[in-house]
Formats: sequence, C-alpha cells, structure tokens
Amino acid sequence: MYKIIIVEDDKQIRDELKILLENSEYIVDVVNDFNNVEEQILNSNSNLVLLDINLPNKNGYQICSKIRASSKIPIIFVTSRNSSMDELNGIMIGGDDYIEKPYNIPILLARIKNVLSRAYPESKNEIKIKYKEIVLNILDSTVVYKCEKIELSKTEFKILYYLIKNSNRIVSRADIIEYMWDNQLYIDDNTLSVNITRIREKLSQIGINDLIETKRGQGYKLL
Amino acid sequence: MRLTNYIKDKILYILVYEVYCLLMILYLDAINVGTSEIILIISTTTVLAVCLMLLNYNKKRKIISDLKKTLDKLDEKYLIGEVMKKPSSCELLEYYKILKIANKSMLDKISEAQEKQKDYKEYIDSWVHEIKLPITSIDLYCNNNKNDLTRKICEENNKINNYVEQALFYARLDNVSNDYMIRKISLNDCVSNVISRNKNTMIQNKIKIEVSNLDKNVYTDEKWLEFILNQIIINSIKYKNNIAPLISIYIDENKENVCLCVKDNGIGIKIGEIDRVFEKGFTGSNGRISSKSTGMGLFLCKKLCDELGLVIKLESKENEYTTVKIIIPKYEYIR
Repeated sequence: MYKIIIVEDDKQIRDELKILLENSEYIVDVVNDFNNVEEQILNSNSNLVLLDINLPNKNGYQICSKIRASSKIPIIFVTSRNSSMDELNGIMIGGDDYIEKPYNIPILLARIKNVLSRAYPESKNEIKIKYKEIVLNILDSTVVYKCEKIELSKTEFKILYYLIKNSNRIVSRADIIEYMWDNQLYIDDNTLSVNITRIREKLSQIGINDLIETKRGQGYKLL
Repeated sequence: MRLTNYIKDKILYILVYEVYCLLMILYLDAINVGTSEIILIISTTTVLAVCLMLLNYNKKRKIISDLKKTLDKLDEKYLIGEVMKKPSSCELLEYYKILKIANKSMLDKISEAQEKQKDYKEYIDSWVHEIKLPITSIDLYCNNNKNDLTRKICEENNKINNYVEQALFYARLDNVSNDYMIRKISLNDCVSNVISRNKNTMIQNKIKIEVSNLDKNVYTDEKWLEFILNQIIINSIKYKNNIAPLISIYIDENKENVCLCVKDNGIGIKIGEIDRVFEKGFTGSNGRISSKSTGMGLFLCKKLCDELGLVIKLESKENEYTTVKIIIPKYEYIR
C-alpha cells in the first residue's frame, strides 16, 4: 500500500480528501502545521505528495524546489490557480503532475495512480484479486474457481471486479453505473441488468452459484 | 483640402475685393485717369492678391497633409495631439493648445478606465480562485457520502462549476494569448474526462453515449479543448430529445486535419438561427423555450477556437440532430 501525504491548508478539503484517499486504499498522512513543511514531508516516508500552491508561510513552489534538492519523491500539485504559467512553473520546478481544483474525483484518482506507477515501476500492479475461493485474473479477464476457468467480457469483468472490491457492503446500481462510466464503459440501467444476468450464467457454468445476491431496491451484495 | 473648397471658404474676401475693385474703377474714372492706367492698376493688384491667396493655400495644404501623414503612421489615432509638430502661426497655435487639452483629458479617462478594468479582472480571477475551494469541498463531501441526495447536490455543484469556468474564460478573453500551452494531448483522455465530469447528469437523464475509436493525439491546449468540449456536451444534454437521447462522439480524419465530432439526436436548431449560434448572447428560440440559455457557451467556444487556430462548425436539422465539429490541424512538423 502506498502512503500519500496531503499538504492543503483548507481544513474541509484536507479532511475529505483524506477520507477519499483512505477509501481508495491509500495510507494518508496530512500536514497540519505549515512551518517546516519540507521536513514533515521528508520525515513522513510517503510515496507521493499532494501539494497545494497557496499556503501560509511558504508557497508550494518553494516547498517543491526545497524537496527536490534532496528527494525524488513524486509531487502532484493540486491547486485552484489555473493559468498555464502556473502549470508550467509547477512542472519546471520538478512537479510530476498538476491538477486543478475543483478536480473531477475519478480523474484525480487516475492521475495519482499514473504518477505512482511511473515512479515505482518495479512494484507490480495488481494482477490477481481473490474473493473466497474465486480468483480474478486482471490481465486476461478470466475467473478461476476450483481449477475451472471462464472468460468474461470487459464490462462483465469490471462489474464483478467492482462488486468484489466492495464486497463488505451493499452496492447500489447507481454506484456500479458510475464506476463503469469512470472506466469509459458507458452503460445504462438495462445494460447493467443484462450484464448481471450474464455474469450469473457464466459463473454457474464453472460451479459458482448464488454469488451475487439482489437486494430489492438497494442493489447487489456478494455472499 | 481642395482648391475649390478653399476658394469657397474665402468667398467673402473675394467679394469684398471685387467690390473694392469696382469702387476703385469708378473713383479712378471720376478723377479722369485713363482707361489703360486703370487696367494696369487693377490687374497688378489682382495678380498680387491671387498670388498671395495661392501661396497661403499652398502653405495650409502642406500643414494639413503633413498632419495627415503623421496620423496615418499612428496606431492609436487619438495620440495625434502628443506627436504633432508645434505650429508657428499664432492661429494654429491656439488650435494646437485646444487639441492638447482635449487629448490630455481623454488620455486620463482612458487610463482610468483601463485601470478599473484591470482591477475588475484581477478581482474576478481571485474570486474564481476562492470559489473553487468550496466547490471542491462540496464535491468531496458528496463523493464520500454517496446517496441519491448527494448525487443531486453533486450535479448542481457541477453546474455552478461550469458557470464559474465560463466567467473565468470570459474575463480572460482579451489576454488569452498568454494563457495556453500547446502540447501533445490524447483526444481519448480529453473526451473521457469531459464525459466523466458530466456523468451524473447524463446517467440521471438516461442519455446514451457512443464513443468510437478516439485513439489519436493532437497538438493543442488540453484545458481549453476540454472547456470547449464541455460546453458542447452540456448543450447536447440541455437540448436533448426526451425519447431516446443519444450523444455520439467520433473522429473524422483527413490528410491535414483531425475533426472531432459531437453528434446528438436532440431538438436541433432552426435553419435561420444556425448562422447566429456563435454570437454573444444569442439564445434563439430553443433558449427561450428552456430559459436556461445564457448565449455564452458557444460564443466562448468560437472565441477560444479562433485563438487556438481551430475551426468550429455546427450543422443541425430541427427535431433531428445537431453536430458540432472541432477541426484540429495536424502539426506533423512539430514532432
């Protein structure tokens, strides 16, 4: 798990961003005291810095160039300053990416993921996920259960993946549709029903029955 | 200044002179001066007077044409009072002084107005910066607590953000030239970002999206293109038909250009109004029906496209479809 440190002076945004990133399976550290920000960042042992530009005391650019003097830790500027000059400045000074507020949340998460995988190429990306005895192979989008294997379509696979990732709760249909849209699969309500039916059929072919339970009026839950 | 006009100006002098000549002839005749002498006297004075008049005309014409030349060379014509040569004759000197005073007061007014406008722009810029913070927090709150209510709030928040963005781009319109960065961007990323931004609204409105292969890189400014595309998609959502709304996004490519097309099956635009959709404040009959139109979206798109060297085109048939095309030139030589 990667650790991300947030440098943001707006308390609401800071707290909510922390929750968001924790929900996305990152370990999150925040800077509360804006003296010696560089030191706090370097001491936190984080894998990534989310850095605001307008800060009390020193601004983000100054902090970034200070850090760059001694560390290569990936830095993403997150700011509401939005002229191209600001962006250029950020990149020139050693920032790895530049995201404007208000950010679209899926885009923010995607950019974080990108920067991390660029910065730490040796650490392997997820290629398999497990739920009970069911294994999802991400590379060839197949499901393996007790030596039996079946291939799912891209849409079916993404739905199942999302359900497994959120197996601890009831997932609403709207959640699934939104998640699919964030992954460039623009499905609607009917297509979702069709896909769920198909997933159930395919899973029963390899002996998995009643995995996805329908909760009336609420959504789906994995058993 | 033409001679005939000059003569017209001086007609009074000429009349007075003629009356004087007539009286002179009568007087000279009365005191028995011979006819030949009279002709001699009158013709010499007349020649003298005509010569003086022509000289005067020539001088004035030269002054005026010099002044016109200086004026032609000036970019800001109102600065003529600052650059014109100080005239020597006392009459012109008075005009010169008057012009100087008028000019000065105008320059004061202009710089005052410029100052005010600059202040205002700076204020809008910092205001936009400030308002983005609460928009960001609302978005985060909604995202961390997803339910039907927060989805609606999120949707409205997105609308606020869009209007704020319009204001920012409008305020920067005059000096946009220093605010873009041309680089290689992926059309696919750009389109999916815009769809993602509007996904709540589109899902709520049951709008279908068809995206064909957009795997293409172009050279332009990412932020601007996203803004332009966002305005177009928002329009497609606003003016959708209510049966089976569909937006399809595809690329049309030829040797020189990549053409990004957004086609919807919405209510379309009346034939007579298509040419005016890029005008500022034009809302048309569709705008009056839905009363949500500001007439700013497409106007800003056009302006920004002009600035970026892109071409934006709109085709539509009422009650059938609207297609907006953004034509992006391929800069092969940049590679």
